[in-house]
Amino acid sequence: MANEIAIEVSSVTRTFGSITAVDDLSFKVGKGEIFGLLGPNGAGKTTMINLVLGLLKPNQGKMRVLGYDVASQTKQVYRKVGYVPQETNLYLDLSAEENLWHHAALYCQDLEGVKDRMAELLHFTNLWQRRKDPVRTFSGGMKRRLALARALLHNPEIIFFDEPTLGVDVQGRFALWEHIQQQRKDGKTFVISTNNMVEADTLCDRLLIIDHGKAVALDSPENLKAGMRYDIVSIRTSPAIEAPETFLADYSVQNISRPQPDELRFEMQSAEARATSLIKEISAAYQLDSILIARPSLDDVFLFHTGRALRE
Amino acid sequence: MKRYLLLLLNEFRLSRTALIVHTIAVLQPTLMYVLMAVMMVVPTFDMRIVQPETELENDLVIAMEEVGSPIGSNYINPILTTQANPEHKQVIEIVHIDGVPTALQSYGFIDSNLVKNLRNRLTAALLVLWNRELGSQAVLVDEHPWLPQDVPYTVYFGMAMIPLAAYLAAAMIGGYLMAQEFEHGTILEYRLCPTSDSLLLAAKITRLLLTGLAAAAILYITLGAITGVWASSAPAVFVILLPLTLIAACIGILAGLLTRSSLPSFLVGLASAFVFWLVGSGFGLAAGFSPIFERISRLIPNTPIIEMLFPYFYFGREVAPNPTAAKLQLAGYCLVLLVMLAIVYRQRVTSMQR
Repeated sequence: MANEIAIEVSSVTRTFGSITAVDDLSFKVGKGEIFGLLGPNGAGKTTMINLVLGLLKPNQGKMRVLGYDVASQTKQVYRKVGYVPQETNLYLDLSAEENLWHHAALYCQDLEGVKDRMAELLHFTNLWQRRKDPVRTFSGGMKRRLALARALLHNPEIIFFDEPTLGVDVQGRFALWEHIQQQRKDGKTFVISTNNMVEADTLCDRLLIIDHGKAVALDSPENLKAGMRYDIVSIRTSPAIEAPETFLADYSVQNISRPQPDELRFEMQSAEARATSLIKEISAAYQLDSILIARPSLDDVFLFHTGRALRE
Repeated sequence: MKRYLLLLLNEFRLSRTALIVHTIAVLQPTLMYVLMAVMMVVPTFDMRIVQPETELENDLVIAMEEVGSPIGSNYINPILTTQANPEHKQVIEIVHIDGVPTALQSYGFIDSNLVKNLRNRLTAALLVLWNRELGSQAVLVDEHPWLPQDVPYTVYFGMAMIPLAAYLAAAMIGGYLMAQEFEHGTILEYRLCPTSDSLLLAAKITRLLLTGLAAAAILYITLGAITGVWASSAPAVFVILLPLTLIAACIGILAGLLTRSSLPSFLVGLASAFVFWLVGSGFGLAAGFSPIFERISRLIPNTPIIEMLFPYFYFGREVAPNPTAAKLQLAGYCLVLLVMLAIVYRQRVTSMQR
């Protein structure tokens, strides 16, 4: 994490009736960081963003954005942040340019330089050619890019991006990731919420994994995966291995499962180093059809911390 | 100032998100007026008089022609006819009741104002005949017209619809656009923006004021084109309409903020506009109705507005019983609604959700 703090969240809790959406969350985001909130739908990611933006009042806890207290200095916070919500809230009957003008009137401190900034952002998001067209005619990816351009128009220091590539095709997804990376190079801080592990893995410097409103892990994607200290091994044999717990007892494997009748999946420490002896032992008793050793994914990290898969 | 103008321009751009609503809200009163003026209210109409047979009956027709209208143009155009009861036409027939020749009037598709005119013309004609028989000692019909020139009822009807036009456009469009922001999620743009609430609301209200006055201007021009009557000061008419349009804009935006749904907001604008029109002197001055109705009517902002407009269409004739009180009443309504709007906007848009 960078030395300078962009966002500081301390012991924040928010409930809706009997449901605790955010439960005693604390974290810090450094300036220039791409910080990810990773969790399944309903984990509390959007609620957390709404709390930091001052749209929701916390039941308890404190939040500071660029040194400003969110509860008492909300307008100062608004000048410094941009927000791209999950549901792209653009005026569909207006053109891309008119949507940006609308935003400029509401947000931009300096109205003199807006036209140049607008042109720059429309070029940056590859929407310049379509700037006069009604947004209604845009694809999902184009709308997300326009929403990003709009959030960047008033030159905020921090951009909150809720599910950046939700409903966006693969090509549009890569384009958006590229835009976010480029903006980060220009010094912007991003807080993104996602349940897409590839996105979290590719884009984020650090991830806060949330489940049922609680923080379950916070680190870089690499460290989170490395922290697992085991690899995922998947083998297919003929016939299927019977009593795998006994057969693999010497290898200290864990979480054995059988996705297919002939397939065995388990976690094993230093699997690559021990692969040769494992293959030899299996081949002596069974016909080994295939063996696959994989590094743990973020899904495995999530599974490890919560006991269930992210997609459940 | 630049930000305010840009906000105002944005508000007008948003018209494109609700074109049908704009068309209905701006043009509906004018279309309604044109239809009603052409179909329901006839400034001069034909009076069919069944073929007179006696000298007295002929004298009545002549007397009616002589009387005409006491203030200029003829309301009645007597036409001799052999048809006793033509459908939907006004008829006067001389009948003999107990041997006494009696003028019998029948009315068809006419409004109460014309009934009054018919009765007055006939009474005047009979007085002329009576006077002729009595000679110089008889009663003379001494006319004291209130107005120097006849003003047809369509002028009052149209004048009372001008506030309706301004109100309907401001309330209906204001409510619909505000609710749409919630429905489309674009309200988030306003929730997070650092610009002050007062500046945002000022731009929204100004846009609705201008739209309301434009709708009123269309009706004003149509009224003038149809009747040939123009207000003695057009700018004064629009200045008088300002408080009502401001009230309408506040009510419309409030409806949008409170319902957060476009259809109910649209209906609130529509219903309040027509209730205000009907109860607020839409068909006649409040003083012409029962004391209870007049009291209720005076609570509606349209009534003081119409009473203020009246002199500009009716040769300077004042009808407002207490102009200062009326102005204070309108100012009070505006102030209360502006405060309410500021509070509700803050609650619904800018403050943190609890």
